[in-house]
Amino acid sequence: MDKAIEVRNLKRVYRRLREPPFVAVDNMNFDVYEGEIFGLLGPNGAGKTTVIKILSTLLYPTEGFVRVGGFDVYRDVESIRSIINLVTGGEVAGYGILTVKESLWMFSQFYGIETKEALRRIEKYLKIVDMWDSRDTFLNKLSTGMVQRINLVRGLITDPKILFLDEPTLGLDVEGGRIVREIIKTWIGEREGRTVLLTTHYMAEADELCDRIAIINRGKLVACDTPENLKASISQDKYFEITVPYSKDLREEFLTNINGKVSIRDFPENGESLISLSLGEDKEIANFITILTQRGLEIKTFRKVEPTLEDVFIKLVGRKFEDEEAR
Amino acid sequence: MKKHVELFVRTAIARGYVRVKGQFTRDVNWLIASVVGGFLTMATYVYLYRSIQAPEEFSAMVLIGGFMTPYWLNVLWSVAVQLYWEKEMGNLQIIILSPAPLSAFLLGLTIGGMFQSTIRAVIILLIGIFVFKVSLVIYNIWVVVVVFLISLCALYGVGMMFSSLFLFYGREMWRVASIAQEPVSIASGIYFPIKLFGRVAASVVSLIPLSLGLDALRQLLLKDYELYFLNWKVEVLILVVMWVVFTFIAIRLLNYVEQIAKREARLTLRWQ
Ligand SMILES: Nc1ncnc2c1ncn2[C@@H]1O[C@H](COP(=O)(O)OP(=O)(O)OP(=O)(O)O)[C@@H](O)[C@H]1O
Ligand SMILES: [Mg+2]
Repeated sequence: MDKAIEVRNLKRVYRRLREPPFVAVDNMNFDVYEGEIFGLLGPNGAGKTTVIKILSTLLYPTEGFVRVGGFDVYRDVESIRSIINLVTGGEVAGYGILTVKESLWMFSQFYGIETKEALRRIEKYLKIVDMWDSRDTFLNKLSTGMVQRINLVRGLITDPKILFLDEPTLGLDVEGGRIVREIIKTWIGEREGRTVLLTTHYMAEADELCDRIAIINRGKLVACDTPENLKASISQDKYFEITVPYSKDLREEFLTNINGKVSIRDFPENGESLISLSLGEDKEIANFITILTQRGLEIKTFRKVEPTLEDVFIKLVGRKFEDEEAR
Repeated sequence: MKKHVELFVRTAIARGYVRVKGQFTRDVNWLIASVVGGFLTMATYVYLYRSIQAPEEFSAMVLIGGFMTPYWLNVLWSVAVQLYWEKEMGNLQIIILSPAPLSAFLLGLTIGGMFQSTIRAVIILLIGIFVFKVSLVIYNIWVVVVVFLISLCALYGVGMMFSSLFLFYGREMWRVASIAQEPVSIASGIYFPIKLFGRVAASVVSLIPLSLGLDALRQLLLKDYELYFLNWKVEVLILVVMWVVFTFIAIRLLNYVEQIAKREARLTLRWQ
């Protein structure tokens, strides 16, 4: 696969007034392949925006080597700019006196797109984001969610090879966030060779949306892999949760018969017991189910528990994500 | 190359469009207020000159000054400070991020600004001619138009040059501009001939293209105008040089500002 983005030994230092310089990105290395949705996941202040600004030619790296679409961010700025676009969640841009359509047309002109073609794309994407009916609404009359969708359309109509999204669902409600994620998936699947690099501090979003994720914390890359591999990497064990009707003598019997770790929590008030299993292999579960049924215990619920990215973060950083954010 | 030119033109037109549309959607009160304001200042000077029995050509001189005033205010408040506003509005990052040159964007809003000002300037001119019964002589309309356009280009060149400085220094520069507006307006001879300043001072204020432009136009539009500083042909030549130099500096400054922005993480980021 071709590399859409190459980051080598990237470092960015901010000089500050009356304070020591601050290293926002430190010795970072990763590649993004063509066709991927790649996520930068990290708590507030991790350095996500800094990385995305460097990749989108808005900021120079202090050290290191960065290529976007095969072009060097230092020397080939113009070549990069014509094949990328960047949309920042929560941004408000444009002019209040313009309508949605006019505003999008204006931005398309900065990419030299012929007006007829621009209008065609505007119609297409406004329909996709369900905003076509608002095409003649003035920009200053839109709600936050609408603005966010318009911003996304601004990024899509220039048909970038590489699309950068900085916190694309920031401040949106559940439904708004879902719509935005759907659009991103649709867009990337629409044509080959498109790439998305997005930042987020929502674990579930990264998990659902991204082909690969780079977890970053305090300017350092902590891990980079597919969500599945990241989750698998923290533990070889398989977790299951089973609820059965409450029965007093459950405990000992199972502890002796099972190859793995078992813990049982009783909820007599509900008449239930919750069995948590940690097994070396998936197929161990078959034995366990057999034992349960032999005892005549009805299985009320059965669930395989996957580790979350949250667990991955805790394992790698040694602290909870929110604790890092509150720092 | 063709692609570059096309991109430049499209960008300039798109940004110019916002200004033109703004002119027509902005409420009429605003237009009336700014025209009335310009007219009243002009009237003050006309009556002042008439009360001291100054020659009638002084009224015509004031009229030309009044006509050019909207352009000057536009240069100061809608061109020079505009990039700073664009940054505050979050548009600067988008234009820098795009393949379009920042200079095309700036040119677009400049030309749009000229258009806005022309509406006001023409209204003021017509009211002035009508109310004060001022007579202008036009020997050759095309010479007048060309000299006028060259003056405008040089004047807006100053605005474009200053836009980078405003962007860079933000609010401090703003204060400087507010303080400078009145003295500079007066010094550039909107309401009297700069010749009265004497050679040295007149040369200094000639650095403001408005001064030379006004002086040249007065020579072309007033009968037997004696109070000119330099011959209008010389002034036009100087204005052309200013136009070229200012535009060159403006473009260099824009590039420089972008470099600094990228190195020091300033300007394109809001609230910083
Ligand atoms: N211009 C600047 N000058 C000094 N420090 C800065 C500057 N911009 C960012 N920083 C600091 O660099 C660190 C990383 O910032 P960055 O915006 O890249 O983080 P982020 O991961 O995008 O965070 P968030 O989730 O809050 O958007 C932060 O501690 C921030 O305070
Ligand atoms: Mg950020």
